[in-house]
Amino acid sequence: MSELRIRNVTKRYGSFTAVKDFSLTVANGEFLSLLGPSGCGKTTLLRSIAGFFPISDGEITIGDTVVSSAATKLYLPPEKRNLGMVFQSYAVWPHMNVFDNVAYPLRVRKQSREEVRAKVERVLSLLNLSDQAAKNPSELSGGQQQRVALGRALVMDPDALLLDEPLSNLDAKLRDRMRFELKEIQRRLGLTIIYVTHDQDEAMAVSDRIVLMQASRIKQIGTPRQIYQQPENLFSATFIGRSNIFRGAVEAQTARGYRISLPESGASVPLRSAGDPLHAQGESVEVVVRYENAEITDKPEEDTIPAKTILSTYLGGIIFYEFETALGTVVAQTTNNTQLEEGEPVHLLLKDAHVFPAESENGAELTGNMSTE
Amino acid sequence: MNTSKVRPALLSVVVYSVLGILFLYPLSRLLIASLSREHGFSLANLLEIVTNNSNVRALGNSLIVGVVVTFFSTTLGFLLSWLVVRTNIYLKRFLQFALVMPFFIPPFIMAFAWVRLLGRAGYINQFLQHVLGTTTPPIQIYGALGVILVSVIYTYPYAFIVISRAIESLGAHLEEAAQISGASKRRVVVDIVLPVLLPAVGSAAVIVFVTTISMFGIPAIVGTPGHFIVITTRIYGYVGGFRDPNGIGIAAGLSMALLSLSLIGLLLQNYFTRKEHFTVVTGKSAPIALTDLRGWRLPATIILIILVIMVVGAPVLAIAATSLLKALGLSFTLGNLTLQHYARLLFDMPIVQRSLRNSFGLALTVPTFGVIAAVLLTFIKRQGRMPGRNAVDYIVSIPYAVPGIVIGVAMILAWINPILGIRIYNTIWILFLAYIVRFMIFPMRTVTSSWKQLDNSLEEAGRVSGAGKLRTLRDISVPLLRSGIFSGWLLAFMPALTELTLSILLYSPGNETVGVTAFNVMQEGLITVSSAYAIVITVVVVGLNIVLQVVSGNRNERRPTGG
Repeated sequence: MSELRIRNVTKRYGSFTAVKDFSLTVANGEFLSLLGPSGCGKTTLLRSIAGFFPISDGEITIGDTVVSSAATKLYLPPEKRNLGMVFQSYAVWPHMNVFDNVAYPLRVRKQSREEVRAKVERVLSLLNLSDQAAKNPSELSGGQQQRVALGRALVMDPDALLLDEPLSNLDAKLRDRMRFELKEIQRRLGLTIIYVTHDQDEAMAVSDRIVLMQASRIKQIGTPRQIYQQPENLFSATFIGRSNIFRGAVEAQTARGYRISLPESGASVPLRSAGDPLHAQGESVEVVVRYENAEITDKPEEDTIPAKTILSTYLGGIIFYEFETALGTVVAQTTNNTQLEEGEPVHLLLKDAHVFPAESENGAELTGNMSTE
Repeated sequence: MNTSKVRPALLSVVVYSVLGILFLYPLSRLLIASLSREHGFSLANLLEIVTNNSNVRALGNSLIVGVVVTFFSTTLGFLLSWLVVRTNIYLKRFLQFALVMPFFIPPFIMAFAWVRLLGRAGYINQFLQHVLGTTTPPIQIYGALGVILVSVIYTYPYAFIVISRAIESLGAHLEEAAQISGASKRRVVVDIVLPVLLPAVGSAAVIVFVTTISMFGIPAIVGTPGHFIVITTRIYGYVGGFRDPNGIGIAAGLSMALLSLSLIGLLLQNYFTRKEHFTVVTGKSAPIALTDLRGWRLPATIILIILVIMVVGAPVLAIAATSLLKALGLSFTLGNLTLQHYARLLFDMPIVQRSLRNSFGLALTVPTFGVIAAVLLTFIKRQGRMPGRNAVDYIVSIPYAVPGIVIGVAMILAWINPILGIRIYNTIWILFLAYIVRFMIFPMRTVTSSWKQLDNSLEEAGRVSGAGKLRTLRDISVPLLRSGIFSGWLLAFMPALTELTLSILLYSPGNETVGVTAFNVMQEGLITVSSAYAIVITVVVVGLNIVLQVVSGNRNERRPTGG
């Protein structure tokens, strides 16, 4: 295992830029996720690292070896990079049985028969596949095929493991289990993993660090906790978690937040801030309040706003309530057993709000997207 | 320049040169020849087509036969598909197989067999003469009627296959939706079923038309003796028989005319299949409710079985019977039967043995070469670095639109003179090249389409596992493509084994093929030996087909899913 360094990598297809000026160092033994909506460039970046095509700009090094460099036109083909990769479709070869699939990377490297057998058996037992060695892939379940793919990627002690949405074809329960198994194997073997996913829960659950990407660029890099609690921009705040989003102007700073005036209704609303940098009076802002940060009280308190219950969605452990307020519709998520009837008046405290300067171009688009959640 | 740029460039020069010499050069020679006389550019050849009555008549005959055969074959194909796929007729599986049997029998053999039934001394004519008490045969097969009859029998399976596939993919929900909307059964057929099937029917009609006007064996055997000449037999006449100094030029002109007809057909088919894209969006559907034939169930089944006997059984029986008679005209008594014709054919006629060797040689090497070339071409194409790589598919599929006889003329023009001291004409190699040009399309198609279905990540997984491009090709791609490779090989092998049209124009003494010797023996009037030969070929071809179907059927069963 060794450090993987990505320096100013850009990948263009004709006039389209799939990855733009991407820099990142993946530490030895780190579990790193590339997270973002489809088309954000995460898979292109992963495939650049794997070496399926030359990059347009920048440089990639694994340990001390430069594997891709646009400046020197150096481009090491995938078979010379010593990386393991698991594909979304598993890509388990249907014409080879489980043992042969896993043994293939070793056989290509001309290792001795005994060595191959020993290593494959070790990997198969690590993945609980020892009983399946002689089976054909068509006889395996999706989860088992997934493990075979993982075994094939692990068997040659790769410098890093590249995973391209490896869990997205599994059903929800299996996905949860595999997620933890993967994390467990990674810890035990000290693997360096680069994990591509569009599923925020998955990324939050397994990653040491998350690289949040949008439109070919990095939006934020941080631990899951940092990304959730200290989003650096509107995209980070809205892509992760479920949030109420509204747009307004800073009317005044208060003791624990702001009063925001809403241009459309003319209303003025207090909210408590999560401690973002201060915004000046009159500044146009986007405000993000996570569902769980809209607190329901039955009496008016400091900084609360009146609200009328419209709809409740009961999901067992949690309940979503939809309210009509001066802000428009606000969703609150609660875990306690308050039971509210339709039309019942309550008060809402909007806390830990993330306030960002309004982005004129894509801000409107984001609000539209998120309000449907 | 570094190697990563030089090598693809070099490779593409090689690929395009080979494809160009094989596929484009002959056709360009054909075009030039059709537009020139010894003094250079001239429209005389084309003029000859329009002014010479025989040529005009041949063109007209081809068109008439084409249209009439298309009408009957498509109608028959449609009715049969409907009966077999959508009604509760008995013996479905048997009928589905038996009805396409004429497809497996080489057309010139089919034609010869029908002459044995309906010719001047044909069995049916003899029988009718006996019954009616006349001395002249009541049915005259030589001429337009015979060409049309045998062509319909040879081409309706095309229509049957295309249309029944379309009917099978027609989801029951389309009809159910119409019924729910209140449409009567009759309206459902008129408003929904027919419009949805129209593209498939149109496409089938075009295939039948193009096949019919391109056919040589049937009009040569059934038409020519009755002085009924079509374009293909006219071209053959100019190349082989007529002592016309401009013969090859006029043949080239006629070839261009035939080629144009075929191209128009192909454009039409493109149009039909493009429209089809809109309608094929049926997805998975509930099992189709079969139409209950009620009282007609048994009669309909019997009619179809009689049809199968008529189109396959009777002609094969006729040649089988003839092949066993000591001499033509003898009655069928045990004492008159003999195997001597088979013995003579297989042991006393070196030309037959030679042609069997040649044909098997060609039929084994051409598809093998074709498959290897198809895999390599597609592989190079998929590397994505060769300039203009999409042209490869177009170049290789050109001959699909070009009738066999036209390819034959083009090959003569291209290779008649030695090139760089290499003589190809009058050797077996001209047949090899011509077969490659003609049959390359099959492996190319099956290999390309099965490669398209292969998930890229299967090969990428090979690369990250440490295998280079060629190693991945060998270990991953080729094994995964084997069913496409196998079926492409087979699709080229079968027609190559009994090829007649190209061979008759391009063979030379010593390099005869089975088609050529069979055709020549038939032309010489050696009827009993010809019958024995026809039986041998039929048994080999049908036998191989059955064996291969069983083998490929088993293969498919053993491999339930891909990756």
